[in-house]
Parts: sequence; C-alpha cells; structure tokens
Amino acid sequence: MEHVSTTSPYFGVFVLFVITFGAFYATTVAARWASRALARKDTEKLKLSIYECGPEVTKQPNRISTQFYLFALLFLLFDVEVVFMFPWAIDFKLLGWFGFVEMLMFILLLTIGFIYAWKKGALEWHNIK
Amino acid sequence: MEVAYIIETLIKIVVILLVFSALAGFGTYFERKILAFMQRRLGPMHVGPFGLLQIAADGIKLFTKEDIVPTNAVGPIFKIAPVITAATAFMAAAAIPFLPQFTIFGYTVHPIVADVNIGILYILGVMAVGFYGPLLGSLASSNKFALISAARAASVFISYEVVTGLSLLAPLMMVGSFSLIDFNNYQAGGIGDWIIWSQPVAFVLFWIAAFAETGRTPFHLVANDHEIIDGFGTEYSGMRWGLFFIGEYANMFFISFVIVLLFLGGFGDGSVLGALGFLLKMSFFFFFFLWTRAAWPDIRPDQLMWLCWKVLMPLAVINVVVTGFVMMF
Amino acid sequence: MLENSIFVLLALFLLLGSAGMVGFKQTLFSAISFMMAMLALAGMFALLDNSFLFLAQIMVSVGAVVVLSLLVIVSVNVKEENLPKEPAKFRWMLFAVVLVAPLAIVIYKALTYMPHTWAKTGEGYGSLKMMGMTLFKDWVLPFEIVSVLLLAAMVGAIVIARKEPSNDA
Repeated sequence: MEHVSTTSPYFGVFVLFVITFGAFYATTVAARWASRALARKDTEKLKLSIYECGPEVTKQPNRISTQFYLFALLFLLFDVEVVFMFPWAIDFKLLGWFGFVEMLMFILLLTIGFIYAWKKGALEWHNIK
Repeated sequence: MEVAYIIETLIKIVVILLVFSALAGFGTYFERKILAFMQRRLGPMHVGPFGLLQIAADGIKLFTKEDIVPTNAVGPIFKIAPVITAATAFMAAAAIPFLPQFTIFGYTVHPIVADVNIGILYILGVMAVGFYGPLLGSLASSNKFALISAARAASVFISYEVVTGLSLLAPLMMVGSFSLIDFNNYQAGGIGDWIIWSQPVAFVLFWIAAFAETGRTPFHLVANDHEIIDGFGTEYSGMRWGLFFIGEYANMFFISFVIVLLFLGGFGDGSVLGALGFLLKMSFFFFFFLWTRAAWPDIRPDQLMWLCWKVLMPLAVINVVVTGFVMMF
Repeated sequence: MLENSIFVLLALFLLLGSAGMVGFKQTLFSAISFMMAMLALAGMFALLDNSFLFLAQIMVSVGAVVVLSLLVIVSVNVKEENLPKEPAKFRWMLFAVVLVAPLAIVIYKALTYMPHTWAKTGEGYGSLKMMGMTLFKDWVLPFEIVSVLLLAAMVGAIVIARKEPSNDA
C-alpha cells in the first residue's frame, strides 16, 4: 500500500475530532429528549441520591491516597524517557554504534533510577493493603 | 488542499463512524453469545432470529431510560465524560489503514483517514487520552465506588502506557517508521516476514498491555462488578452509560487491527485474499478478548502493578537492548 | 483559508482553556480547562506539521501532566466552603492583563516589522526521523545531561512523595 500524498495529513484528525465529539454529544442530547418524552418518571425521594448505603445524601470530600500521585509522577518521568527513545528507535539503523552506545548510557541511567525506586518501595502497593 | 480530498475524508469518517458504531453494538451481542456458549448456555435467543435483534432492543432501552444526574455530581463534567470515551476511541481510528487501497470508478481510495507520519504513536496517544472518560466521569459523580475506580484508572492505564511504548521500540527499530502502512509493507513478503517471529517478546508485551489499555477481563479493575459495583459507571444511566461501552468495544476492535498490522503482517501485499486474511486475523484477536473473559479470573490491583512495573517493564527494556545488539552484529 | 480558520478556532480554545483554568472555582472545571488548553496546543503543533512536538504534547502534557494535576485535586480534595475566599481574584487577573499588555504590544510590533518571506522548511521537517538525527548527532551532550536530570527528578520524586511507613501498623 502506498502513502497518501497530501500537504496536510492532520486535516483528517481535526475533522474526525470535530465530527466524533459532535455526533456523540448529539447522541446524549437525543437520548435526553427521548427519555424526557418516553421514560417512566419515578418521583421517589432518594432517586437522585448517589448509589451508596445511607439514607441522607451528604457532601463529603472524596480523597484518595497520595500513593497514586507517586505512581503518576514515576509514570510522567518514564513517559518522558520513552518519548526520547522513540526518535532514536526509528533512526537506529542510520545512527549505528554511536547512537546505540548513547542510548545504552541513557538506559543505564534509567535503570539506576528504576532500581532506586524498586529498593525504596515506591513500586509497592503498600499503602493500600 | 483540493475539494476532492476534503470530500473523500468526510466520506471515510462517516463510514468509519457508522460501521464501528454498529460493530460496537454487535460486539456486545458476540460477547454475550460467546460467553453463553462457553458456559453451556444459549445467550440472547428471544428477540429476532438467534437473538440478533437484541442490539436494537438494547438501543431502544438505552434511549428510553430516565436520564439521571445524581445530586452532588459535577453536572457538565458528568455529562461530557462518556462523550470523551467514545470520541477518543473513534479518533484513534484515524491512523489505521482498515483495508488495502482499492480503485473504484477510476479513483484510488486509501482507507485511512489521516496518513500521519507518527501513525502508531498517534493511536497510542489518543487511546491514552481516552481514559479521561472513566477518570473524569468517576470524579464528577462523587461516589465512593467511582472514586476507587478513578484511582485504579489513573494508576493502571498510565502504568501500562509505558509498557506499550517500551514494547513497541524493538519493532520500530527494525522497521524504521511509525506509519502502520510502512509496518504492513515491511511484512508484505508473506508469513516468514511477520514481525512476530523476530519479536515474540514485544508481541506478547504489547498484547498484554492491550488488555490493560482496553480494560478487559484479566485487568477489568476499573469497573469490576463484584468489588466496586460498576466503577465509573455506577451513577450513569441510559445512553451516557451506553457511550462508555461503545468506546470500550470500539477500542477493542481498533487495538485488534493495530496488533495485526504491527506483528502479524496486516493485509500483506494488498490482494483481496490478503484483505480477507486481515479481517480474519483481526476477528481472532477480538474473539480472544471475549475468550479471556470467559476463561480467566480478574487479578488484584496490586498484582497488576507488580506485573507491570516489576515484570513487563524490565522485560521490555531488556528486549530493546538485546534487539539492538542483534541488529548491530 | 481553511488553515487560518482552524488556527483561529484552536487559538480560541487555547485562550478559553487557559482563562478557565485560572478563573473557575470548582477544581474539576479547572482541570478540564487545562486539558482543553493542552489539546488545543497539540492541535497547533499538528497544524505546523511538527510531529515530534505534537506527540510529546499528547503523550506528556495531555497524557501525564493533566493526570498529575487531577490526582493532586483528588488527593487533597477540599470542600468548596473550605477554599480560601478570593474576593479580589478577578481584579488581580485584570491587573495581570494590564501588566503584560505592553509586552504583547511589543511582540505584535516586532512581528509586523518582520519580513514576510519565511524560510521554507525542508522535506521531513519536524518529523521524528529528522528530530532523532539532530538530537543524537549534534546534541549528544545535552541529551545525556537530560537523562541525568531525569534520574535526579526520579530520586527527588520518590524522596518527596514517599511517606516513611508509620509505626502504628
């Protein structure tokens, strides 16, 4: 298969973005109209309360453990490293040994950080036992 | 940019939207049928022949359910979250060549919406954005079960994104391009050229990560019915809930296409036989998603993180280094 | 023409998103405005045909930084009535706008004085292939320094974010 020859390859992405968001949002709007017209309306008092046990709806702060924040932070760093590795991967044949040794040093430093995280228990799920 | 290109793009987009929305509906039917057969049941039987009209019945039911936004929910975000899931799933389709190019009335059609040169990375990036749907939806519904689901979504999806990226590096080194079209052409020589033979580790890693990215059964933690009700979907009703599922099934289809294009030769030389084989291979991967659901239990979140950070990630990095050495010598 | 209108649309989203991130009181709205701004910026990079920046923007900013901010919001979820009162917030924002206005005028003037013949970018400009060749051939040392920086960031992240296990277990 040949490539498409066009000056602006991202045009399709943009149009798809606009059309999908428009279409699916329109679907929810249509569903709202249909349900207003057709659905059996329940007038029970606690119908709109959230699905938990307890009769009264109170507004509580929902908090999660900071452990997840650490996972996200580690992910961010690894993500940046992977983004750096992508251009290297497709130029691998052109760069030859020089690029490969460079990347080996990069991976070595990454591994040091990874081992540090492992030893410090940052990869454990321990707060949520 | 000429007018013909714009019209062609619009037609392709509408076709993709219609076909895959319908397929997402059929996906639920296949899933119920296959699960039923594997458990020696019949599955949906009563609506239409072999229960085929069950999809239409479900659609009517979803549209006519009462539309509920619970108290304390953050209204606008609660409403936009399912749209994000469904729309990003379909946006990922932009860089996938669904069929080999064909000529119709003397006009050559490339069945790909946007032939961007970062192809596969674009797909992964957009699929990664897709998890904002469950995340924002669950945060906006201010429900405790949804909150657990949000925490799991945040940690699981992003961890496996790193694995996907790392596992792709080795095949990328061999092909030297991100475009799925180039991946297909690289493997066009027949079964012997398929990347799966030279990169089995990368294939398995990518496949495992695909289960995590679509949130399917061994990693079905974000909406695990027997622990956290329906996770992010607990407060959703009607079509909004349905949109989450359209997104999930569309994602399953698209990632099956991507796996076949990356590792299993895609549509090969582009003949009719190749195209049929492409669809067959894709169907197998879609079927495998359902098969796993019938055959495997879910794993715990801590096991999932252990698998990702301590097994798959080191394996992926070692795979990259070994591939580098092999290619250098 | 089409490119111009797409640019205007994206710029509008970028401005609205940035303004919304500062202006909203409800933190979830701020987060989603942030995401919108980042997506619009990615769209602008795509408009310039710069694949690497588009990719980095989608994968790092949209895929990771916004999640990070969302997780901060959830892990310190404050009740709305406990948030600090900011009666002069919009006055401060107006003040900031007035403060940067001269700079904006200077940039506008500078841009209009520029010659209108732009340098043509070569084939494959902004592609990851070109980016990789530049990064790994001409900018080797900065690249390796970046890897050391990332290592330092990782160590720092773990030291700061990880609580010592308490003894009450």
